[in-house]
Amino acid sequence: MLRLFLRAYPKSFRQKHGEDLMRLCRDVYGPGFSPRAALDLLWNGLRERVGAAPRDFGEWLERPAREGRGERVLATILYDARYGVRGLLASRGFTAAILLTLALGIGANTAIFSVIDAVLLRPLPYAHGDRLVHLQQPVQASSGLNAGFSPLEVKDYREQSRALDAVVEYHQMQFTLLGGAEAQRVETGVVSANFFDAFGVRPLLGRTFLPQDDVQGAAPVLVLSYEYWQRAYRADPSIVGKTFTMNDRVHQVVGVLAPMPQYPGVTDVFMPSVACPFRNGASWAQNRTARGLTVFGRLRPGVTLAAAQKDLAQVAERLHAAWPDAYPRTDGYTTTAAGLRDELTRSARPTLIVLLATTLFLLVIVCANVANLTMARLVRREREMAVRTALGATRLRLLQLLLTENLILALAGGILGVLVAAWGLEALAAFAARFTTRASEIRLDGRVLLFACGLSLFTGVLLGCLPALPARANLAADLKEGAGATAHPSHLRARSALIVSQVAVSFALLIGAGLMLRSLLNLQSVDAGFDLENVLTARIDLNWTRYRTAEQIRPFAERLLDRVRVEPGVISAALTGSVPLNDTNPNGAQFEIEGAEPAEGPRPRADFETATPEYFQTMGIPLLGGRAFTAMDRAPSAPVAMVNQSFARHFFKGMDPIGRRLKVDSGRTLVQIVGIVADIKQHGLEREPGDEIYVPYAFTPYRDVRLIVRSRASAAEVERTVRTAVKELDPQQPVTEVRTLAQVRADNLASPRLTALLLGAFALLAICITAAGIAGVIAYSVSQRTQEIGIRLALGAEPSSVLAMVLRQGMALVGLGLALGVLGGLAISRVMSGLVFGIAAQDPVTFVLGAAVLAAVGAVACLLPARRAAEVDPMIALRST
Amino acid sequence: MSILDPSTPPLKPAELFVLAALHAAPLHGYGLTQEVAARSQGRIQIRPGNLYRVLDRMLERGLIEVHERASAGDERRTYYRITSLGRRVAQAEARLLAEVIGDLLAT
Repeated sequence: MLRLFLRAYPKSFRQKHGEDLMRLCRDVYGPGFSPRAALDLLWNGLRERVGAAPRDFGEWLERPAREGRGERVLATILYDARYGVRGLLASRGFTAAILLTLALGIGANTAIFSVIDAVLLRPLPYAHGDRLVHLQQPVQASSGLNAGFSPLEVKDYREQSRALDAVVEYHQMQFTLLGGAEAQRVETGVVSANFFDAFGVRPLLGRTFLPQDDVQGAAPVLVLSYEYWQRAYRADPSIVGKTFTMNDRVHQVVGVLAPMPQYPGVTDVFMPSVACPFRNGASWAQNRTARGLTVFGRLRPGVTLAAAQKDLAQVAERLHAAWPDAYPRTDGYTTTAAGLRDELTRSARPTLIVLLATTLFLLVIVCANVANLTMARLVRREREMAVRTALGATRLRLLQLLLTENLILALAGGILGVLVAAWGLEALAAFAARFTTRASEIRLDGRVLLFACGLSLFTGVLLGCLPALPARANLAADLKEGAGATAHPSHLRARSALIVSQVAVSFALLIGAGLMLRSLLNLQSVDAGFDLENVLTARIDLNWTRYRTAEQIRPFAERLLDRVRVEPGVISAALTGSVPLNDTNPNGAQFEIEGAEPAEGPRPRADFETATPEYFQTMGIPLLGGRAFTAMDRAPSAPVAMVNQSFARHFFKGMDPIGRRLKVDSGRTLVQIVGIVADIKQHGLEREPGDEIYVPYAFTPYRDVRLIVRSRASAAEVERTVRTAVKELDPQQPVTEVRTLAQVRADNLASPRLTALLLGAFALLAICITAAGIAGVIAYSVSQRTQEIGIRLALGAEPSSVLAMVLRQGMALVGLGLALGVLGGLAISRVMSGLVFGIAAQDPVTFVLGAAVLAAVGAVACLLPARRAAEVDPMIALRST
Repeated sequence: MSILDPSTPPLKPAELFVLAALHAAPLHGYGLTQEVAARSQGRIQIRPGNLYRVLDRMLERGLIEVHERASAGDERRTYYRITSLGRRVAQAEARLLAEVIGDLLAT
C-alpha cells in the first residue's frame, strides 16, 4: 500500500534506496498503512523530485509528440496528457477550483465508504463470523426485552440444540486485580472454555482456554485482551506465566488475544466461567430463573438461521413444559437467534446510510459544478476546437482529448481526495465508535483506495463526455475572427439544467441537516427532571471479597457519606444504584400491589432504584407528596418505598398511593409507599421515564454504587475530596467513572450533536458550491446578453427593471430546483425517520425554512451579476457590436 | 572548512549528526535515526522519507559509503559507514564550531 506513495520519489532514487526506505517506514510508523507515513513519503518524494530534476519535467512537457506511427495510440495518449497538463497549468484558477471541489467530493465519499466498508460490508473478523448467532430470550411481559439465560439454561441449550455445534456464554464482572504496580479494577469477561474456539479467535501469545480450565477445582487462569495488554503492560511479551491475585485466589496469565472488536463488552481480562465466584454460587448456578448471561451459538455448517430458530423453539417448548414455574405462561418467554453481524451494526446502520446518501448527493453537486466549470472553459476554447476540426480532427479525436484532460483532473482530484479522507478518518472513526465496536476496524486500505480510484475514473469519464454532448455545427461562425466566446443556446440550457439539479440536491441535503438540527434542539430542551448544575457523580464498586455482607457494606457507605458531607463547599451527598440518562432498559423487575385484583396478562413491572435519604435533595428531584426517606428507614423498622409520578399514574389512576403496600422480591417482602417524587429521565433524554420504585439503601446495601455530591466547590476539588475520602476509608478501593451530571447530559447528546454537525457541514459545503455555480452561470448569461441589455437601456429601460429581469431569470432556476428538491427532501427524510426526535420526519417547518434559506442564498448569488447587468453602459455595449 | 572545496555547501546539522553517529560505528537507517535523535537530545528527528535523501546526498559527496548489506533472517538492512573524507570533513567542521563556541563561551 505504502509503495504507491514511494512512487513520489524519482525512479533512480527508488532503485537505490526504495527497499531500505520501506523497511525504515515499517520500523518507525509500524506495519500496515499509516497516513503519516504516506504524507512523509509524498512530501519528501516531491522535494526530492523538485530538487533533483526540475528540468526533466519541463522537458517532458515541452517534448513534441514525434514518436513513431507504430506506437500511435500510446503516443496520442501521451500527447494528450502532456497537452492537457500544460493547458491545466496555464489556467491555474480553473484547475484549482476544480481540484478543490473534486477533492472535497471524492474525499467525503472515500471517508464515508471506508466507514461503511469496515462496519457494514466486511465479514466479521472472526473465523466463523457468518455462522455466529446471538441467542435471546425475549419476555413479552417486559416489552419484549431479552432476559438472557441462566447457567442451567445454557447447559440445556448446549445439550439439546441440534442446529448449533457450539453454545457459549459471556457475562461481565468488575474485579480487583492485585499484583501489578497498583490495585486495578478490571472489566472481566467470564466465558465458556470454548468461547474463543467458537468465535475462531486465536491468541497472539500463549493459549486461550482449554476444557480442563473450566471444570470445578481447576487452577484459575486468565487471558488478556489485546487492548488491555497494550495499555496496562505496554505489550510486555513476557506477560504469559505471570500471576495476579483476584478474588483472593492466585490467577495465572496463560495468553493474550489478537486484536478483535471489543464485543460483547469492553473487556480487560477473560476468565473461564467456573472461576467466577458469583456465577458458581448456589443462588445463581442452580437457579433456573437466575438469568442474565449473554449467549452465543455457532450454526452447524449448512444450517440456516431459520432452521436454527425452529430448533431453538422446540428446545424452548420442552423446557417450558418441564419447568412451568420458571417460565410463567402469562409472561410469554420465547427463545430466538439473531445473526451476530446484524447485532453488531444495527445501531450504526441508519446513521451510516444517511451519511452515505449525504455524501453521494454531495458528489452529484460536485460533479455538476465541475461540469459547469468545464463547459465554461470549453466555450472559451471553441475556436481551438474549430481549428482542430478544420484541420481534420474527428469528433472522436476531440472527445479523446477532452477525456484525457478530464481523467487527469479527476485522478489528481482523487489523490487529493484520499488525503482529505485520511485527514478526516480519525474523527470519523471516533464518531462511528459511538454506534458500533466495529469502528476499530476502520482504515484506509486497498479496498478503500480502489473505491476512490474507481470513483475518480467514473467522475473523469462522466465529465469528459458531458461537455461533448451539445451538437457542434457552426464551424464557419466559430472560425470567424472576433467571434470570441459565442455560446450555443444548448450550452446555456445544459448549464441551467445543472444549476437546477444542484439546487435540488442542495435542498435535500439542507432538509437532512435541518431535521437533525431540529431534533438536536428538541433533545437539548428536554427537561431531564433533575438539577444538573454543580453535581458530581462517581462509581464506587466495592471488592466483594472484603465486603461480603450488608453488615460490611453499610458501615463503609455511612462513613463515606459522613466524611464527604462535612467537607467545605459540599451541600449534600447521597448514594444510589445508577446515574440517570444511562442506556439501560426500563421496567426490569416484577412486583404486585397488595389488595389489588390480579389483572389478566403479565404481572406489572417497574424499575427498582436504591437511594439514601438525601438522594432526592442532592439531585434536585421535587417531592410531590408524602415524605422522603429518613435515617430511621432501616431495619428493624418496617420497609418503605417511594414511587415516581409515572408509577402513581399508571398503577393508582388518580387514587392516593401513599400508605399502600407493594409486594416485591417475589412476594417475600412488603414495602409501604411513603412518598411520591417527580419523574426523571433515567434511560436517556429521548426515552420516556419508566415506572420507578425507590427503596432505602440502608435496607439492601449494594456493593456497586454511585456517589452523588452537590457542592459549591469546583468539580475538580470535589473529585479530589471524594478520592481522598475513599482512600482514607479503604486504600485498595478504586474510584471510577467520575463525571458531573452536566457531562452525563452532554455525553447523552454527543451522537446527535455530531451527526447534526456532520450533516450541517456537508449541507453548508453543498450550498456554497451551488451558490458559486449559480453566480457563475448567471454572470455567463449576462455577459452573453450584454448587447441586448445595452439596447434595452438605450431604448429607455430602467436599470432596476434590468436588475429584476436578471434576478427573475436566476430565481426561476432556483425555484425549479426547489420544486424538484422537495422530492429529494422527502426521500432523505424517509431514511432519517429513525433519527429524528420530537418532530415528524416530513416536518413542514424544516422544509419551509430550508426553502427560504436556499432561495435567499440563490438571490444573493444572482444579485452580483444582476447588478453588473444594470450598470451596463449602453454606449459601450452597442459600440462593441 | 579548509579541506572542502569552497563551492560545496557547508554541512547541515542533520549531516553533521549523521557523521557523528557513524563516527562511532557503522549503522543502518533505523539505527541512524535513533542515534541522531539521542545525540541531539531529541532535537533533530529525521523523518524516514527524508533520511535517505540526506544519505543519498552524502553518498554522492563521498562522505559516507555502504558498509555492508546484512541479512538476518528475512530482514535485509543496508549499513553505512563514514569514509576517511567524511571523517576529515566532520573533524574540520567540529574544529570550526569549537572555535566559535569557545569564543562565545569566553565572552
